[in-house]
Amino acid sequence: MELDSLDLDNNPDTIVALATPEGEGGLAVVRLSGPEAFGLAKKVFESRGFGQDVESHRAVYGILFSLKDDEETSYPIDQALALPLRGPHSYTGEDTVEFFCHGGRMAARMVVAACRKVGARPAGPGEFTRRAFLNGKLSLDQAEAVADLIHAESEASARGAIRQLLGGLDDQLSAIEDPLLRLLARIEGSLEFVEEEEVAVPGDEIIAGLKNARRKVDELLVMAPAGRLLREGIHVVLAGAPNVGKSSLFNALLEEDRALVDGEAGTTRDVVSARVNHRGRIFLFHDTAGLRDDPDRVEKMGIDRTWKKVSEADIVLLLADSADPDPDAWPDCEAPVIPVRTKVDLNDIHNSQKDSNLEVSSHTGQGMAELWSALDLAVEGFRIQEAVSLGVVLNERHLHKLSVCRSDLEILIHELETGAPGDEVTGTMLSSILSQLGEVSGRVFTEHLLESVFQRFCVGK
Amino acid sequence: MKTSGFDIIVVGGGHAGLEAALAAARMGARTALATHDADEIGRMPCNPAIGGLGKGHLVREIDVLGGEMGVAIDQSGIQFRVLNTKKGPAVRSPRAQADKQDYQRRMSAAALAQDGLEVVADDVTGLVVEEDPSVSGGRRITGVELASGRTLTGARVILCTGTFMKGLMHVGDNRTTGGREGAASSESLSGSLADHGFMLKRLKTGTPPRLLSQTIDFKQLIPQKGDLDPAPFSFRTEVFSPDQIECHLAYTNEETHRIISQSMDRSPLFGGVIEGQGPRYCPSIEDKVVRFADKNRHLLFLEPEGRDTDEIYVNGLSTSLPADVQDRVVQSIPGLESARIVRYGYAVEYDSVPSWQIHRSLETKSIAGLYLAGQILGTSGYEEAAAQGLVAAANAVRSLDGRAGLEVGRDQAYVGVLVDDLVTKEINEPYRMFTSRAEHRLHLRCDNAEDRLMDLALELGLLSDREQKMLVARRAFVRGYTGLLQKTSVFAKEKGLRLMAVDYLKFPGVGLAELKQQTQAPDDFWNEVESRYRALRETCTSPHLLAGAEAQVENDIKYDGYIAKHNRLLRNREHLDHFELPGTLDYKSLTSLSFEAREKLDRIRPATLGQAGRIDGVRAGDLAVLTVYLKKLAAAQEADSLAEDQGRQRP
Repeated sequence: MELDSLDLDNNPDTIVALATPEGEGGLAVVRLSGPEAFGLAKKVFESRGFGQDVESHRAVYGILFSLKDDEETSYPIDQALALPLRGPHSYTGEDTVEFFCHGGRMAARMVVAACRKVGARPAGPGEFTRRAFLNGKLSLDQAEAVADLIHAESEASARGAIRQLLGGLDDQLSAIEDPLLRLLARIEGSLEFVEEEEVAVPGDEIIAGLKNARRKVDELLVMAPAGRLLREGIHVVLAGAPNVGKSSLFNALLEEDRALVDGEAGTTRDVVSARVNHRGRIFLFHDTAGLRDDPDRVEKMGIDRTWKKVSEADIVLLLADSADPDPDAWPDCEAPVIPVRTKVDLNDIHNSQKDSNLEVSSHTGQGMAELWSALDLAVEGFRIQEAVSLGVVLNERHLHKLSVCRSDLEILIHELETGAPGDEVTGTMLSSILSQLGEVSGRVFTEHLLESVFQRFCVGK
Repeated sequence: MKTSGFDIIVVGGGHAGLEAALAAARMGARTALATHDADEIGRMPCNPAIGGLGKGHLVREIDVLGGEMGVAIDQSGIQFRVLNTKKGPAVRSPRAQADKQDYQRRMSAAALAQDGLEVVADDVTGLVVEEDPSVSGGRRITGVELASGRTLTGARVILCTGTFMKGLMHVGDNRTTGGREGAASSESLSGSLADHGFMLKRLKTGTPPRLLSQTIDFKQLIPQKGDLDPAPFSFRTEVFSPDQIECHLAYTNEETHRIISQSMDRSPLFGGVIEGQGPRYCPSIEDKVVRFADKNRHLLFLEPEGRDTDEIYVNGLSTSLPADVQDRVVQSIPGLESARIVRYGYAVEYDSVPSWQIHRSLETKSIAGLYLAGQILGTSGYEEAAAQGLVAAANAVRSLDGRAGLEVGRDQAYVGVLVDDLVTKEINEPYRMFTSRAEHRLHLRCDNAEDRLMDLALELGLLSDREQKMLVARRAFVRGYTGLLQKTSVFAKEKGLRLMAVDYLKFPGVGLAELKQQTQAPDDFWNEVESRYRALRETCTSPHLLAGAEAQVENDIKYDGYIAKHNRLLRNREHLDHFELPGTLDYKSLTSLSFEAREKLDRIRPATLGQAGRIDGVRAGDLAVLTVYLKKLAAAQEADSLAEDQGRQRP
């Protein structure tokens, strides 16, 4: 969560939203938060324990009602537990009522609607967290993790965000910071306590320490795309010459999981995108304009957009008609490319023409399972599971700071290997690297440094 | 009975008080220096030395700003050494042994001879404070009460009381009140500060035993000589050829450590008698034996306290053990078997005023016109004290006619680091300067102190015309020479390379001398260089100033890339230093801040968001909350003034 994204709300109203991720779980929590939370809750929830005086932090059982359109009468929608939490002792720090609905997602949606009818505003993305943050309930890195959690659309993403809340990233950063701090303490000690003994740290030991730190930063950075992939989903671009069956395959890919398709029109006329939840992972498929060598002007605009999409893709599906004896070779592109031969049901394939194991028919569904396996295999390379299990789902801010640290470490190692910057230079550069890391981890290093120095050295003139 | 008013009253004649009094008087303020004993002005109660790592940098800066310390040690030093010569120039620092009697005599004489400075030999027992609703805090100081019953009135008061406030000395279980050996403590002043609402904190420091030099067998010790070609601290010292004497090195041994360990129950430090927090970087010998138990020896420096004195200071053997243990400890050391202690080591506890109670100007937050400087603020060291004395006086005098205080940045001087740390950090032990404290260390060097502080020095006006001209000429030399090096290409004979002179100078171990000997440069280059030298010599003939300027030219070039790189990293946070925090902010009401941040921000009241971020315990999340809150506040104020405007427009 960047500072600038925290917009200011002088008079907070009462907001409502589903607080648990949309999914198939049996229990859904609807959160109502704001100055009117208790009052509005009374309008939608009937219970003996929820009368004039609301007892905070005590769940009560009752019936949820929704106003009919006449705004006079209401009808019951679910049996639920209501948990009133008086601010500041709630997640947001405001008066809050959490409804635990037994009826799952549909019922939960009806509860949200019922609350809206009596005056609550639907919460924007991350709004509960923002309020929690503004009310001092969360530290910045916790807030960042929760923001990710809110945007987490899939289970794996949610797990990564939760681990970060529990300090996964913090552990990883400590593993980088602590040895560097000890190294710096020795270097600084040798600078500040010259008279006692020659305590200069050998150059190769410094280099080894820096390389070790660089390796650990690399390990974090390798998992960096995982963070984005978890939050945003994996962008898969379908590309190929016109009429190879991109749109048919696009639709076939969506067929797989129609229930969870959240089809949305592309921002351009030519690129159509859709979101699919496949086995707990979010895929964003982009159907693009056909690519050919000699397009007319209008077509060219579409093709430019295709190239742009391809350059941003995490995975490219390169389609070619299985009847095409000489499909276009694909130019260099950073993302993994999966060649796919289409329309196998229409063509008689000769083994000699095979350049891909993937032969699909959007029409019959032939080869679709294999295509999904190929996609899963490509995703393995993004090390999402590892990121999740280590609890290091990095956001853009982390990523930026860590990249800066990485390049500073690189430069310092290079300096030490090629020239001989004095220890005073090494110490100064290392301390600024530690400051940068501290901006991710939140640690203040100077005092820790002196602490560390004093533990090792004893006399200063 | 009242004495007619002074502009500035300085209380205490130690290193802070002396610099404060001299600076104030030299800036034209009617100044009084109140000290219990005029003969004690500028005394060195602990180490008979000036400078050292980080500290030498401070002395160089004090000197350029117009302080007295550098000149005094140049004249009274008996051994001069640059420390850390094996390391890079940024962390090299001059240090000198002083003839402490001579140093003190010169300092006393300077104070007594100073126009506009009246030395008042009396104890200050309390503050005279009046209600003044026009100042923040609502109170203003108008003078001090003296032990004699008199009152000194003054517009500004600078307290530089060192270790004297409720000073308590420990030698074993023998306790005596006093600020240091042979001097009475000041009991009532600290009570007066407490009565006026200041929070006080006990600190501790220690000093080692002094030995009689005739009883030491120096043949068994390792001699340590001064530098062959010593350099003065002060740019004003143009003629410098000190007659140097030797120090000696000795080592403790396992027997020494056994004696100390067995006597630990008699140590006030370990018996819990001493409450004050001592400095971790300068531990007593009993501390060292406990904390560094794996070391079987510790280095000691035997430093003469003067040219004509028999007293030898045992640097590294600070202790508060009982006298008989000190005798045995000393005599366990080879070379000191029959050494006699003339003055025993002791620990001294004293009251300090934790520095969150002062502004950046060193004026107290609660009483207008009252300034604090030196050990009273929890620092240690003559150099740290002197720097604060100078800053406090400059700010106090400037405030007399409403001028703003002196702004010294962390990127400008160790003085700036010191002041910012004082108003930002929780000082839990006596604060000593280290180069590690300065993030701009590569720029804050001894060789460029003149250049770094010239503009401030000219603004302050403590230097003579000639001295100011020396600084200006020196800068012109450095800039001119560097400019020539940047535009001249040379042929490096040994390397077989043609390259720019600046790039040649970036090779390790290569300086201006090598440039001259080992490269071919156009004749007019050397002619132009020579004319630069001539121009500098017209103003200043000091070979030391010239050597320093040459060193700056070389080191500016050598560090240039690193400094630029480091500055880029620091610039990310620079905008935070321009984000001002209103002094009236009610941090306690900002429940969004962490509890620790609320407490500390409320106490320290940082001037900028950058300073807030340097407070230990204030995290990035807290800064975010502050930013959000202030934006909110600004928006609300804008809305209010808009509404007001509209209201006014209505008929």
